[in-house]
Amino acid sequence: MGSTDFLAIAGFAALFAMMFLRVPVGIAMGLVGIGGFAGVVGWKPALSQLANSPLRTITDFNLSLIPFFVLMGVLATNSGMSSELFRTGQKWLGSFKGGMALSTIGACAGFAAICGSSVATAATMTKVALPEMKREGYPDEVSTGVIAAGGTLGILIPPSVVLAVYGFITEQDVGKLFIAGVIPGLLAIFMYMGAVRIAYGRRLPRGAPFNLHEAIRSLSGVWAVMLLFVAIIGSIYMGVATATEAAAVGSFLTALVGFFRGKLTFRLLLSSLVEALRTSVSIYTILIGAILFGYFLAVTQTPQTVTAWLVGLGLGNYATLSLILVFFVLMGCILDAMAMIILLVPIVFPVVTQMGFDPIWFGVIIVMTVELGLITPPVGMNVFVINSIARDIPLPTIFRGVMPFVLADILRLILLIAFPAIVIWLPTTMQ
Amino acid sequence: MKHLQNILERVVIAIEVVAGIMLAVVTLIVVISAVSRYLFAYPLPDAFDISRFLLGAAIMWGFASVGYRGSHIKVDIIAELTSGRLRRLIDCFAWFVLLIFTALLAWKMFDRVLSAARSGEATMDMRIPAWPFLTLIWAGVAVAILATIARLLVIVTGRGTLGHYESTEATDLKDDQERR
Repeated sequence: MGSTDFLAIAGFAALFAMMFLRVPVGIAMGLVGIGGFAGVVGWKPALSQLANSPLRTITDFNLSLIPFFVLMGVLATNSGMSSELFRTGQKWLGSFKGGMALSTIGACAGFAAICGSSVATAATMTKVALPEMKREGYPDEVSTGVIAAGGTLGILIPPSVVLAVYGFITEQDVGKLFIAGVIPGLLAIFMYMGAVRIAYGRRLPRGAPFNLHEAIRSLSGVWAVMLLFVAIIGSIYMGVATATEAAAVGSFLTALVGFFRGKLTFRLLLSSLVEALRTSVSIYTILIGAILFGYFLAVTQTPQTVTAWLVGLGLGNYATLSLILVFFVLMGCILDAMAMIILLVPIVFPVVTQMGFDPIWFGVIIVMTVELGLITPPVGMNVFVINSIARDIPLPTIFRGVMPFVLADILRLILLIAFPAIVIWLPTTMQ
Repeated sequence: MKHLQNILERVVIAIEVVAGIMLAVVTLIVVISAVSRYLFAYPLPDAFDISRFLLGAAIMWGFASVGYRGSHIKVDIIAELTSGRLRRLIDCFAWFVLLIFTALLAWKMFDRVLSAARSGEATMDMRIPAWPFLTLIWAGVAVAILATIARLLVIVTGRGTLGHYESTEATDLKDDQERR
């Protein structure tokens, strides 16, 4: 083992020690990055990274799509769009057995189409759908399980903030990544609905009978969501706008729709801006840290070493990929989804590309993998969010409820690995 | 101390409002520039540079807010297993490390502001000097030092702890919906 390998290991040890002591993930990465870089090339060049690199990151125009998409999600939440989506879902799917659970998944998907955050989707739907399901006599395990799993659609269905960050750190086209997420997102919706029917179908009540006239009328309440989704994804797909422009126009239109429908006030707009900014700053802090840490990885040639080691194991492409995915699932037990993508993707990305996997396809696969971490113990962020709002429902109940959806996720992951065309076909048709 | 905490809270809200307004301005600039480019083939001059500088300022002023609120993304698993003195010790350590990073950032970024002023760095179209924008960004970092010290004081005196990133976000959402 060379001295740089030793330094890399020491760097990772220091990083995890700091993270476990609650140092913000981005700050720990940044300080270890500077310290490690100084260990190889000296303090002066290491500190000079601090003069330029963070400034370059926060003034990178392409990255501005992060606050724009976050803002759009916050505005959509504060404009009460989620309740209309749920009502429409009820009119279309309510007559089935377990119709309210199916409506919740549909509403989560609709909300995810304008909001790139899983946590926001889960939190909003807990407020909207949980009381209704309780009233209809749904067991807590089922209702919270459905919301926790439905919430994960926010991270996959475009626009997705995590996919955008993946695009930035791997230098992939964010527009292509968003379009690549469309079919897997639709597949996720159908598989979650299938999971509800198979796992809980018999135990759940049926809603009011289907009425075509009412169902069509209910669409008038969700025109705004449909318009926004078509405007954003359509403009990216047709090549009319860049992802950044689409994000800015999307957040502007969301605010406009909110004002037009009397759901948004100036005060609420201001608090939405502040809220969006706080979330964005947390993401930017990790990005700043990741770039500083990246210099350290580069001088110690860690990605190359990891690539050589993994390829040298001679496991074959799919076994190596499985190893990487299992590693991500395990890391999901301690790390936040965003932090995991930013910290670990730069290390495994060279391995994946060297094995000949498509980088856009891998983006969707890795986002789906970290999505699993949002609903599996011990961290399961969506589960905690639901528990923080519905205090009377214990965590083990929610974790039990998400199990059928975890199985659906694993099955979907296997499908997309076996048939990559499900992911990469649509982006190839973009203009 | 309670009085001081109230004052701090008001100052941080003012910082957040400044940052929020900057984000709104950036959004408007990008929207107007994109629309005018597609409709009239005339993008706003310097929209690119002004929006990215203002975004940088919004992020750094927001960095100050997050430094005070304690809601950075962090691993809470160990801290949540502890309580009392040990928990406070961990929180103090974490925010002291953040303070060191912020101070280093302010120091090195100040050098960058000076070099921009000396070299006459300017925007692409209208040649507006870059240093006032960079100073605005740097001011955010300077405010972040004070905000981080304030949070550290709150932790040391046992009057508060660090927020959880995701639960803070969820609580915000919940509060907003309840307000509505």
